[in-house]
Amino acid sequence: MDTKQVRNVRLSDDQFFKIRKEEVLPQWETGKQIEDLDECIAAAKELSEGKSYARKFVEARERGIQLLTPQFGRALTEYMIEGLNYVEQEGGLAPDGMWIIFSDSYTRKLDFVRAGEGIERSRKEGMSMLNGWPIVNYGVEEARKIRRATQCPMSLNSTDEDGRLSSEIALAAGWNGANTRSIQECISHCKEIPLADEIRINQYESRLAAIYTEHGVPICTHNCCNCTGYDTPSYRSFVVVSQSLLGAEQGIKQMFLEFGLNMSLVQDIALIRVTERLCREYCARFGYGDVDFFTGGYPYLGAWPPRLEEAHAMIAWNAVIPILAGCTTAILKSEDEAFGTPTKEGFASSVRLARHLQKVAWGQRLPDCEELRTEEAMIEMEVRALMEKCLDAADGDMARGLCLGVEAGWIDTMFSPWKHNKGQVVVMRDAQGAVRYWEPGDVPVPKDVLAFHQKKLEGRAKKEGRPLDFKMVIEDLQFASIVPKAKS
Amino acid sequence: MPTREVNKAVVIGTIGADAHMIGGWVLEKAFKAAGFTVAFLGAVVPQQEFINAAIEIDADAILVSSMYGMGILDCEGLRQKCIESGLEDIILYAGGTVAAPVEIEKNWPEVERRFKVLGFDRVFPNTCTADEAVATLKADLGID
Repeated sequence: MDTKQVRNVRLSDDQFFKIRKEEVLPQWETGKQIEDLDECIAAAKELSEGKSYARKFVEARERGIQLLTPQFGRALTEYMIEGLNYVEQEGGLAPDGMWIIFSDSYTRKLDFVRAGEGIERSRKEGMSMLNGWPIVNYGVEEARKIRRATQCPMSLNSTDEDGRLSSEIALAAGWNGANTRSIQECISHCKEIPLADEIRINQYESRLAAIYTEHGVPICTHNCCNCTGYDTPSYRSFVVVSQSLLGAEQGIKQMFLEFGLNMSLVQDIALIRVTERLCREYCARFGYGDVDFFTGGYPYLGAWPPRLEEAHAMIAWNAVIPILAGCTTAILKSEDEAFGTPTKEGFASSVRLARHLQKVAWGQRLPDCEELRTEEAMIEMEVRALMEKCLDAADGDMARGLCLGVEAGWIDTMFSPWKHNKGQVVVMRDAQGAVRYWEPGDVPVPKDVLAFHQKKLEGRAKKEGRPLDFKMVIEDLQFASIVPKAKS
Repeated sequence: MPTREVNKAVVIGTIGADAHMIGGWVLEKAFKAAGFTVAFLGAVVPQQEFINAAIEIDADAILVSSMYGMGILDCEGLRQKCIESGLEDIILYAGGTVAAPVEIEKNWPEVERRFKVLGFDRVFPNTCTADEAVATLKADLGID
């Protein structure tokens, strides 16, 4: 599909079921097991009774509590059930927790042959040789088995180019979280796919989630901005606000805004507050006034430290930010992050640590202050400028506007594997660790915002007594992962 | 030790279905700064692309990055393919978070043993710096 053809328009039932039959279910043999969508929805309704991912967010808001969301994924079903039960019980995740379950990266790239080999290899080696649970190879009955065996609500993260079949299976198994995404996946995980094609793929996934919702199984979709891990907050915010319009058009009624954190307390909280506000505003402006939004933090996506103490500091800081922001949940990483696919023990430890932080924080929030207002104003000015530029260029159609923005380089970030991203932007941390533009490329950053960024970077040069240079950009990549060597 | 003439050329990329490319990007800068010709292939690179690039630039080494934990599976067969393509002497390095199970990754001698079996000359943990990678390759090539 080329840019001229893509539109932010709801898929008709005819279009949806044609794609389902011709493109999605034939991707792998387990697609046959979920041909009857009515049956899938009925089963999902029963399986998610008392374990609804979407309702858990609403319940948390009503009770005024904050949830925790660890992430898990192993190659074999028995490892999954054992691990989830361990963290729910030993780690104390249940009842006020939720799961993000990861599929392995072969599944995410639709390479089900290799995923199958990975299952066999894991059995042979007696350990998980895949970095997630290959949901498509196992199929819906195995996913339902995991659902029955565990307590906390579940969401599948099949993050990549085409998660449609994975999400079909997950939703049919009563894991009722899905995804509203497009450019986020291109930026994070894709190499070649044109944005118009990715938008079309994700219109399907959003529509699928909306169909479940319309039939009595509410689905909450993740609208996330994990991006490359080295992005300005305004870029992250724009990704989420623009995607909210794409999801809402397909009929999504509940979105979880998932914010990849830069670990800069005030700037991250400003990002969360501004973005939720702008999602509500833009959705209302385009006639989607009935969409509800929840927020959460996703831990730092850069390099993590190998030693336990430093890893625990990272886990804690990445939980403190969403706690002080008043988010509904904090997604967790584990002390294993620097080494490999996280273990059940690692996540049980993270849950205990974050639970205690919630307790001792006593419900406090970061109070309104001048620094927060300034950061919010800077992010908001830039996101509005970019949203309006895209909407103007595409006669109000966000899908086309996104494509035009990427082609023109108005939408740009650094370190993306995606060849369509211009990559002219260079970011750097300022003296307080906030992420600023060193080089804005062709992004339409308002003059005042850019001046503010440059002033902040000058502050770092002054503090460190050296001019800004490329070496600082490189140093920023490992600022959180380098552990000081012990003195001999 | 290589028997061919050193060309100061390397291929760098992230193997398999892995989208992480920052480590490779840093290595590209470091090797270029050290005077190497670099073919940087980015992320999600199939084995054959590494080999094609190595032939094209007459590379001394292929530096394989893997961050998502399935490096062992992705690197299997690469040495054999190199031999079949006439690159018997090419140096193979792997680096990153190369094994999914922490049981292996936390047992570095086991990681090294497994990569040796795969025909790799060296494997580096994710704490390795770009300068260390450059210095190691230079030493292996017997240059400055």
